[in-house]
Amino acid sequence: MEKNGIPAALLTAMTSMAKVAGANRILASGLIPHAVGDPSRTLDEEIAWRKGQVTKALNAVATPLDEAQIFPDW
Amino acid sequence: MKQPFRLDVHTIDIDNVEVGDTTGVSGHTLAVSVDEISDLVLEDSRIAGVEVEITQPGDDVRIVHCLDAVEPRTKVGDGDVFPGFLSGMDPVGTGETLRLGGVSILVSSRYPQPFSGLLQAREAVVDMSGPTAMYSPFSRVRNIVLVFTPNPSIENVDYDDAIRRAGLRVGEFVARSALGNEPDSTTVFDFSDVNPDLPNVVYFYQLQGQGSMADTYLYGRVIHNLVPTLIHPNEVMDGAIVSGVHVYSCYKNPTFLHQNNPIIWELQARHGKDLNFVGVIINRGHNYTQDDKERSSQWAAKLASFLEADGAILTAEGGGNSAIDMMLACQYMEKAGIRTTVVSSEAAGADGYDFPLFYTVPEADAIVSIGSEDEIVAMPKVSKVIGDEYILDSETPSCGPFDLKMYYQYCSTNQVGGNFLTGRMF
Amino acid sequence: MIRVVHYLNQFFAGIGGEDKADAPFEVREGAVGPGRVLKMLFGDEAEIVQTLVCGDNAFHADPEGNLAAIIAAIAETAPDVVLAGPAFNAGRYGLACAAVCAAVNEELGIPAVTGVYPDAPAVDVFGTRVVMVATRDSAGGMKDAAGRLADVGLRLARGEGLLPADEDGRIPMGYRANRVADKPVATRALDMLMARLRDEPFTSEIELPDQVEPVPPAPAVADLSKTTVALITEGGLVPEDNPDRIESSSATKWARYPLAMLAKNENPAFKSIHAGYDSRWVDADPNRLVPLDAARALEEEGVIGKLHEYFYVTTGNGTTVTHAERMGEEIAIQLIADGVQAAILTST
Repeated sequence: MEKNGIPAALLTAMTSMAKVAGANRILASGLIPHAVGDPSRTLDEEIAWRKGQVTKALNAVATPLDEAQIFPDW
Repeated sequence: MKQPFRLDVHTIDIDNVEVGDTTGVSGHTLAVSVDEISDLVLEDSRIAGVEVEITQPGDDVRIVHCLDAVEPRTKVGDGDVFPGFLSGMDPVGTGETLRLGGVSILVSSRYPQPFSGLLQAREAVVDMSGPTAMYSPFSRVRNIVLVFTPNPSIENVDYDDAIRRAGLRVGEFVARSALGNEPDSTTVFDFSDVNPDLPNVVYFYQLQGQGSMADTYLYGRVIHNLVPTLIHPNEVMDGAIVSGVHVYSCYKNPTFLHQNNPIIWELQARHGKDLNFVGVIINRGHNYTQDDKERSSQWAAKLASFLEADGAILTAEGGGNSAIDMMLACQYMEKAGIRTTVVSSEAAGADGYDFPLFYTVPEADAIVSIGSEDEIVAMPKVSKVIGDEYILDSETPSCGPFDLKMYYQYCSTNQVGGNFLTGRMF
Repeated sequence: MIRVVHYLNQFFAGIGGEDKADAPFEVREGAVGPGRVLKMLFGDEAEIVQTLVCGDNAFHADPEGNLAAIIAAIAETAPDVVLAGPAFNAGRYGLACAAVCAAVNEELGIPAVTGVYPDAPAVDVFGTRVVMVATRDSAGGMKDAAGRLADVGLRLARGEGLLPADEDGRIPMGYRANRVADKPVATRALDMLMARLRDEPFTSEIELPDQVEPVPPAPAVADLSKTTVALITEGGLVPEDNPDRIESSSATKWARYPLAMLAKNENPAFKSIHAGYDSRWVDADPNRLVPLDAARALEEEGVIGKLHEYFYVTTGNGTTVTHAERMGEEIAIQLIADGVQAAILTST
């Protein structure tokens, strides 16, 4: 995606793997089986949390970068 | 007074297995009573039926749907093998243990319910002869294959527990029938003498703990919340670690290969000669977050430092996810000044042109390859199949011929070193 | 008796040096120049039935025409194997040898081997396609080079296949394959560790790669509220009948499905066919993998301009880098065609 000029944010539980693989906009999120899910929350809370994760990803594609970055998890 | 943690392992070498009226060993021949084994297995109502098949190296036979394999072992005198399954939580690994060498109890079955997602037992094949025999270490032992029929009314996870226990119970029963026979050899597992002139070596032994059908058991319990911990190698010899991994057929470390972990046997043979075998660190592979992986790998390196290790051998079980845990442990050990050697499988693609490792760290520059899971193997027609007429999830007759990825060859790229394959650059 | 055709340039055929480099293609019977060294090495097992000669400049002045003539001559002779050179570090000669081997092997199906210096230009151009033994940089290494050429060539002629590159003395072609090891894993592992502990040399059985060339970050989007955003995952979420037959591991395929279909999530329902993670939570609620509900809400609130109406999916478990890069390229082309300006990816 990035090579073709499309800024792409990656939500993943395995940020180190993403870095090695060459992703540029990396965000720690969730667990391996559900990167944008949290079954321990109630459904409403989970949706609100997920909205927050997606918002962070959107901010990442709106952030100019010089090199790959793992965005902080807050 | 302090007692050394000592285990005497007595081996009776078995060079023939045959059906008999009663189960027992005479010389190097093991006789197996089908009735005795059926009665033992069917005490558990979760199993509806069992066929007992014997197959030996060189037979024109294919075994399909392989699940766990168990080496017949029992205690001589006090104690039990397979703690947490056949006994309580009393520590194992001391006293005397009898093993029947060259024999495996191999469990084959379908499951009562259809699977979906990751949590499924996948096809696992052993060819007992011909050019495809090299793809499974179980082509080189005499297999007593237990082909189970599930009770259709129970859930897969429950059934899985039933057949795991059945394999262990049959293994112990068969070994017990040889009690009183003279062993061919005895190996003493005692690492209490440490020579200060030799380097200290630890074994980092990563176990799969990913969910049902992909779990390993430590004293009968899953290892999901395990922080790296120490285990004595003798405990492993007595069945402290039992396999429930049926997902990745090629990578699988079945119970047989935990009991016979080749790294532990090699360290035993070199203890006091080349090195001091100072401990085994077990770690859960497949930790689910970066933080969990960091904590585990850092913790393992810390334990190795506590043991004053100079060197470490690292093995894992499973694919890319578990490779990260192992490679991070390698990295942190190296940073702590501990020299490492990593045993790794490869995934270089069917044509072999891809980079073979899932995940690397710059510190992992000493790697032993156990071959690539991606190679496609032409499985020939065989005259007899044990397990099932058809390959799982297909209409392909098990007798062949068909093409099969290495992934489905039982323990072909087993990471504790059970097989003989290696990846080479051409 | 194995029948061999040998290819040489004007220098090794004894015609002359640089001043004769425009010597045209010709066919000679029997062994010539280095072919006589090969002949001695072959003993009674093989013979050089024909030697093809072409000047270095002549070959490269018309490579297509010369290759056509060479292929025609070899097709008629129908040897069991073609050997070319060895060319050592000679640039034009090595390229001609490699081009001849590639054409013979790919067009006629006849095995072909050449020998070049590992830094020779032919290795960059033909290294993954042509079997090349490693030689020294000059003809002073003729004896070793001819020995390797003869060994590998005769083995291919006998149908025995290649040995690993280091055993053959070949330049690696870049692919790996499984072989039976000479010692058990545990022995090799402990030998390697002991060598490290004793500061003795050792050879890793897998070489670590050069660092991946980083992709420069794409420019950031200027205004999210005017941006069309796509959702992509490697988590294997597909309609339950998996209509596009995406593989559960080592994927070579990707697909896209309408978000409207995912929102409905019945007849067919979506589930994950990915064989590398426990998908029960995603199967119960696919938003945990493809964050459709959250992204749709952000679209309705005007935070983003538009949510692209498809999500894109493959399986990232055991997928090779080659296929992953290809699929990424294909998806990017599709996204650009559909006017997408940013992507959110989720991985398992």
